[in-house]
Amino acid sequence: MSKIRQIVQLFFEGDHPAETKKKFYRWLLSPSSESEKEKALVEQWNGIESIADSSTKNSFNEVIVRFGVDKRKQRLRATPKLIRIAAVLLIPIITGLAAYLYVKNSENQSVEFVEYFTPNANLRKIDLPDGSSVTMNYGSIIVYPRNFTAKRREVFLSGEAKFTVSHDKKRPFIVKTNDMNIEALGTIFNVSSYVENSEIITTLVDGKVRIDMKNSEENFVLEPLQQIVLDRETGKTFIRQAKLELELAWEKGYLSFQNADIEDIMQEIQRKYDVRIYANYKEIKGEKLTVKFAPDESLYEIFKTIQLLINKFNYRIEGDNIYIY
Amino acid sequence: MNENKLKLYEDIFIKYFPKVKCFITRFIKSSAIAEELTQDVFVKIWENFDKIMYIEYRDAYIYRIARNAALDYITQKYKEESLIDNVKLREGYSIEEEMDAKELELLIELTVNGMPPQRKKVYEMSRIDGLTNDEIAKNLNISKKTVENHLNLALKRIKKIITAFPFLFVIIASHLQ
Repeated sequence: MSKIRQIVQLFFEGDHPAETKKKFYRWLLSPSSESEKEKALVEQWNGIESIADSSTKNSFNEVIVRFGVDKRKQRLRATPKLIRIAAVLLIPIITGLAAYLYVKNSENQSVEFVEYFTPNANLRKIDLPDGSSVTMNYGSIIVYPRNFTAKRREVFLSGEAKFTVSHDKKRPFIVKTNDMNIEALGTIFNVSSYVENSEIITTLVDGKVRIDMKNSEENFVLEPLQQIVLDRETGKTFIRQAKLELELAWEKGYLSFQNADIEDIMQEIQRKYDVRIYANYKEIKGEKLTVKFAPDESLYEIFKTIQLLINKFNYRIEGDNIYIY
Repeated sequence: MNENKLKLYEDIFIKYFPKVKCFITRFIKSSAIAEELTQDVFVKIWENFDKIMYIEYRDAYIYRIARNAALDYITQKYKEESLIDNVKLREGYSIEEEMDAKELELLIELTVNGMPPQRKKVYEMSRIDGLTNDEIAKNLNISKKTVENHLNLALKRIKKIITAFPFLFVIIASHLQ
């Protein structure tokens, strides 16, 4: 292999200190052996065999939002991560919000909205104007009116949050998500509705909630300690007993899963540790795990453990990037 | 929006987005920025969609946009520091030889970076910090034999590269002492 091809190959396959990177770029841009350098780059390009995963779909949704409205390109570069999260989360919310505003307008009231979002690797607790409180998990967004003046207390959620709703018989409290609406009187419940997850779950801790499924128009009533699970791929819904210590462990910084899909587990790790996971799920598709990780456990320990639990699970951690193959 | 156009675009997106992102990530070494750049690439593809219709040039066309996006980003990022290098001439060597030597140094540096962490450490302590094998063994809390093994393997690897370019041996001889 020629020296030039070796240099490009070694640079592409490894992680290098800033000084080396600069040297490489300087070398690459220097006006010598241009056509051989170009050949070496094409060789790298041809050698890539990446396949789409669920994050590709997210990226697609983000990109089509930008068609025709690309004047904010500069801003996007300034705060890439925050805007990116907002863009993913805004898609379901915009649809919900539009419907909401339409209803409000017809009632001839103007409503001011508050929007909160927790970036990756952040938890946040907020108080709603009616005294209800919400604890939000990593990478979640919630939109609610500054004042609950309407007959119903409606909030929009994308991501995961635990609601402790103050009692008000006259004004039902409704959490709207992409796939289901959860209606409560005075109660505590947890909603997990990340756009990138394959399962949408509402867990009732105390009180009573009514669930309206958006697609099937079915209704369910949950008893305490029950949870309703919607499988996004099959569209099937079922109710099961919840293991609360697993479902709510996230509040205390734990990472816990109850018979969860390996792909959803990887999404959760991405959000909590703010890393990127590149996975080829072919070999491990359909694997389900029930497992709980302590708040102080390192990424290394987590992946080591998963490797013990799943056959054919190989990983490599390179800084903020994790490769699963 | 034309439904067929969007459908075709989505197919291309699903097929190429991971490839472009992987390429740019390896190129610029940051997956967060690579995601942004890759999204920019696909906005551009949408805007120039008629070019992508011709399937036989599609791969080369997408490669070119991806490469340019990465190169633009790099030149922008290092704008202040001038990536254009001034080659200092040592006596008795031509500018070509100096540039070749620089290239070889880069190759060695990349090779060392690609070594397992401990081997890299042993190599650097020995060749850059000038520690003896005994000192390295003590410092890293490993046996002297292990240090020697690491050094042997590291040097073997580097020698293999260097012997392919023997006339430059003098300039980079410091790596092998």
